[in-house]
Amino acid sequence: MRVTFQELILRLERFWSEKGCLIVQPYHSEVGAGTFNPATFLRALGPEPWKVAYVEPSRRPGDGRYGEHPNRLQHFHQFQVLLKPSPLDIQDLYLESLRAIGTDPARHDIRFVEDDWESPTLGAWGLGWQVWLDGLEISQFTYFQQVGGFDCRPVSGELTYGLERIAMYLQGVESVFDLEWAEGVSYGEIAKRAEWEWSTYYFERADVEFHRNLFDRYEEEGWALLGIDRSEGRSKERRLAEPLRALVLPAYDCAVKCSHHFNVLDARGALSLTERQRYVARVRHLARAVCEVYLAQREALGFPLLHSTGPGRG
Amino acid sequence: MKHTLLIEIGVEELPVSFVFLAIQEMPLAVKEALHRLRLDHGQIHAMGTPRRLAIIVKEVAESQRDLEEEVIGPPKSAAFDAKGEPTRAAHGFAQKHGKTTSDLYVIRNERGEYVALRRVEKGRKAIEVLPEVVYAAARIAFPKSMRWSSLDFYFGRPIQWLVALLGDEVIDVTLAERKAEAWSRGHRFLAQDRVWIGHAENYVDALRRAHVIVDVEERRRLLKQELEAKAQALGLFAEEDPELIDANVMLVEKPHVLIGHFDELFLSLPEEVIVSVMRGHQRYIPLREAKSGKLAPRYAIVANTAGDPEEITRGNDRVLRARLKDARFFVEEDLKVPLRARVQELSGIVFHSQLGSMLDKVHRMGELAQSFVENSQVRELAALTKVDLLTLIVREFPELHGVMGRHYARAQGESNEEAQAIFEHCLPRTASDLVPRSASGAALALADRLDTLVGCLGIGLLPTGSADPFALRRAAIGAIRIALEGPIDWDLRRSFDAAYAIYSRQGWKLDDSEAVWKRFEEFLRGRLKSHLSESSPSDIVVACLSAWPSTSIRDFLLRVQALSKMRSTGELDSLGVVYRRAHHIVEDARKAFQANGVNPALFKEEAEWMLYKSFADVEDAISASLQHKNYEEALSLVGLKLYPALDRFFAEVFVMVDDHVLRNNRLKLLSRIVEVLGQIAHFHLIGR
Repeated sequence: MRVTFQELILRLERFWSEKGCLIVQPYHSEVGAGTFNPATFLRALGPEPWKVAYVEPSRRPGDGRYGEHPNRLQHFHQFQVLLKPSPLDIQDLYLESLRAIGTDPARHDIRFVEDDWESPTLGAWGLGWQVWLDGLEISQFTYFQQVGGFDCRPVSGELTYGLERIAMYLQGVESVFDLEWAEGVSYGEIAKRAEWEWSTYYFERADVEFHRNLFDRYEEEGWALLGIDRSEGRSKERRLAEPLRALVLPAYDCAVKCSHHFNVLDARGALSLTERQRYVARVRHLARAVCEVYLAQREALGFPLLHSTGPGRG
Repeated sequence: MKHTLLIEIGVEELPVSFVFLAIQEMPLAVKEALHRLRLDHGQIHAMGTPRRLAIIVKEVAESQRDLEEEVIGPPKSAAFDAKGEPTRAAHGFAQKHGKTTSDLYVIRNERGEYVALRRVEKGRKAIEVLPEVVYAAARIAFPKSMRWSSLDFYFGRPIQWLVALLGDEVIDVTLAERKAEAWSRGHRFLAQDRVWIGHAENYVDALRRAHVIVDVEERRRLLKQELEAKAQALGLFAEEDPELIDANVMLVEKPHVLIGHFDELFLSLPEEVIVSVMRGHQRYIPLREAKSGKLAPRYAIVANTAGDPEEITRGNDRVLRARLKDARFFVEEDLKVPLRARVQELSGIVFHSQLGSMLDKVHRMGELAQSFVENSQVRELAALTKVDLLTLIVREFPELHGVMGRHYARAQGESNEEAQAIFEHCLPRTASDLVPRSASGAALALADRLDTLVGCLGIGLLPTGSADPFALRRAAIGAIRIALEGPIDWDLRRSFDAAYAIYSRQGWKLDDSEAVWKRFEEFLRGRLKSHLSESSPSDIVVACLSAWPSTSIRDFLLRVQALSKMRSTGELDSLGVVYRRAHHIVEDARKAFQANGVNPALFKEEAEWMLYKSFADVEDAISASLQHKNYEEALSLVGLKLYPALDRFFAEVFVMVDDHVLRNNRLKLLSRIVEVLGQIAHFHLIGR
């Protein structure tokens, strides 16, 4: 049976649900990857166990090609799995999931090729691989070592499936727009016009001042919600008097928004190299502060997930 | 009885460089640990694949050697009383080591006399102490180590299993919560999960049966054989590319070579682009037509599994096609804007925050290049050398910098010479790379490197140890090689002054010019020495370097060549001996006389006269050689005339006579010879 795009998602959700993951829904703000979803980014911090899987529609303005390129899109889908702590048989689980979506690893050339991951905007990094299926990179596999500048203890294992690529492979099509989303419905019908519109927007029409302004406003709001004067910078000694009063999640949203508006400005070619670095540093700065307050909050709450069981946890 | 030791650390796929590193480091660590544990052993052999690091040690002793050591106790004076009876201190000392005072004896060391005893520690069984060796093997300093799960253990990638056998006995040891067993694991997809090893000697064969070739050399041999056979069958060949072969060797547990194919239409892209696309992301091996040497629309895939070869090849073909399409898209996009129209954009690329942007740099390069070549266009050309850094294709494949500059320049109607100079400004990129052949290319390449060197050294960025983030060593070697092998010589001091002055005119603040010159001179001399020492005797290089006044690089080379030639006739080393003698005498007496004014009237011996006259004969030739760089000629004259006279002088004349007038006159003569000859090379360093 031909695996449609939506069938692929359903199979991955079922598989990981059976492995004890919470299935959550995509985030509602523009993100460049599933890692930005707080279900990964924030949950990877601290000692609490966590298992989660979800689809993440991801935006990379700079990758737009007006719908003319067979596999570069400004908007695509990742299937994201976060397992914390990373199970010792995580590679086997991953290979089992490939069987679940209809690929027999024994017939193909599957390789785990070094690919370390670093997100300068999130102050996060990890070590891992890109997974090759007959030379095609179908997944990213990362052991988080640090998030927001904080050591990950325990370490989370993050699996990211490139859904379009895998579907193209499974369906044997050369262009993403020829994918069958559902029986009789092509990916192109759903997304092609959008690719053109968004590419045109990001590369030609996006109002630079508008996005610069939004960046500044979100940044300001983010710091205000954390109750931190950003000029303090990141100091280990900073006392967070009442972490439970801080609004960490809205503040994090602000950081995510900043990151998005930065991506738009970058795609628009509006940033010089030095300016670019400064913008990246500003987002990282805010994201780190969010992590710090988030950790303090969880601690103040007594790390509740340490004491509960069920899907998504232990 | 001696046994073979096997340690295998099973891992999740390690990066290529980590496996190579581990194979280098593990044997050293294991050897050191065995030595420390007093375990005799035979050969050590390290092996590895992405999924395992293994070490086999032959003929490991069954037990540790006994440790016999001398333990030093209290001073003799405290150990024996006036009557020579052992004191309480002596009893205590002996008792502590399970001995009696009758076992004590007296030793004398630099601090005085002490009592001592010999103690023997019985060696333990090897199997009991070998866990130490396993830990040592696992203590590899990977460039990046990681933690995983809830463990507090660092390694290159998570450890999955451990085999540790002495003969057929399992060593009781645990690493990252994995207890050693006699079971390994085979190929991830082609073998049963668990593979019985049982005995250390069985290891390599047991794995071979499980589709794993654990020995790196064997794997490389297999890969190359299969690659050659498959390429040859199609009338193709693969260029030597050890780095690419190594990468492939370390990406598989057993190589399976498949031949893929791409559309000939892509061959309209520059060959370098296609090669970069294949090598860079996918580690594919480019194939060329045996007859023409041209790139063929085929390539080799080194797969880790036999699986379904057609399916695997089809998949890889599709990947390469998409990547080539991407590259073609990049090239087409890049071609839409002429290089000339993009020069100003270079201001967006930072060269260094204290040294300005790439735009600043190309301006400096243009000015500096003009001092190397009579070509008014070189200035304009300099601006074009770096523009390809802005293009999509070079951003994707940085190694194409220069190659694409040339390609785009040609496509946009720049002349062939100009396009070639744009490319050549990158040369030499590696130690084995060619140097520029055209004068403009060489001038630009030199200007680029000297600008980087003077700028970086000017703000104190010196390479330290293995860290050389601005690749200053490579820049220096490149500049030297351009003078030695290329069309343009340059002068150390003058070029430095020019480059420094250009920085100042542009308004960049470098450290004080003499301080920077010192750094620059020392750095370049160091590189010059190591570079020339690769092809010439190092004593000759040192002797010439020591006399060379930091001027023209080729001048230095000519000196080295002249001395090397002299060595081939044996004359150099004889000259070295007498020169050293003269140098020694003069140096010793340095303060006692004034160097000027040898007075022939004071000569007493014929040998003095002879020396004086032969020196007069060659002195002008030596001075002229410093002007005209015909060192070989001057030195052959020295060999012919001065050397025999000097030799005879030392045989017949005693310099340090009591008569100080006579003595000083002789010293003056020697001093003059040392000084004049020493302008070519410091011959006293010959043979040192």
